[in-house]
Amino acid sequence: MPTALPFPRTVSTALLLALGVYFALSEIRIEWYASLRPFFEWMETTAFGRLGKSYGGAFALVQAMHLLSMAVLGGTVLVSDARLMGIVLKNVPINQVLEPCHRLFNCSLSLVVLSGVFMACGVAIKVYYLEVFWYKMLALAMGVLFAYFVRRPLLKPSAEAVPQRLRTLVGVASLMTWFTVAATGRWIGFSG
Amino acid sequence: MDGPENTQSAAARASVDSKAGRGSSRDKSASAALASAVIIVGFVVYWVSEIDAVREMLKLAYG
Repeated sequence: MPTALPFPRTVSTALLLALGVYFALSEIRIEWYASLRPFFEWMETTAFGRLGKSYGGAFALVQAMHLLSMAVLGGTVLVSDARLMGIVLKNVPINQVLEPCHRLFNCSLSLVVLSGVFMACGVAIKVYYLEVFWYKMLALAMGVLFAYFVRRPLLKPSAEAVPQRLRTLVGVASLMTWFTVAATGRWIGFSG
Repeated sequence: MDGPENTQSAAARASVDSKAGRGSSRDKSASAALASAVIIVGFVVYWVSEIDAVREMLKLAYG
């Protein structure tokens, strides 16, 4: 009978991270980037793209929704990570703070992604050439993967059982990721 | 009725489950520590390089 791989989750995390670094440093990234240009051109021709480009009011309305959802998402991340690090709400059990925050995080993330796709359609070619847009997408992808495949499985059964040092490390990583998503997002607004 | 053999096998199963649970929890902790450390180092490097680039540009523009 074949023996199971010890620490399968850790091994797959390490492999995924190594794959990400290889992708970032190899020629594949440049080829992949060039092949995406037709997709971004097509995005501008979609109904969302035409609406976003022709009606400034519609774009502004969706942008307002995007920023409000981002604010809610940031709030849930701040509260849950600050609780994880033992900074706020110390007298409330951690999972009692994390659960409602996670539900709100799911809703706000869905709204952020939906409104973000609409906005990207309106300025697809512009963002395609913006380096900071790709950093934002990378941070967003990392944030989502980290939240659902690392942070949640670790803390869902009982966050109190996780050592404080690890909780702090996870909280700092989560805060840095979502801070980067928000900051690079604002940077896109100021660019071009 | 549970005989002594059944009780013994239930205890053995519980012990195996408990060991598996501890292993899985250690696995989750190790993967979280690894991912968190890589994320923190990666973003610190990114932000330091970005701030350096802005400082360089300001130096070029204003001396």
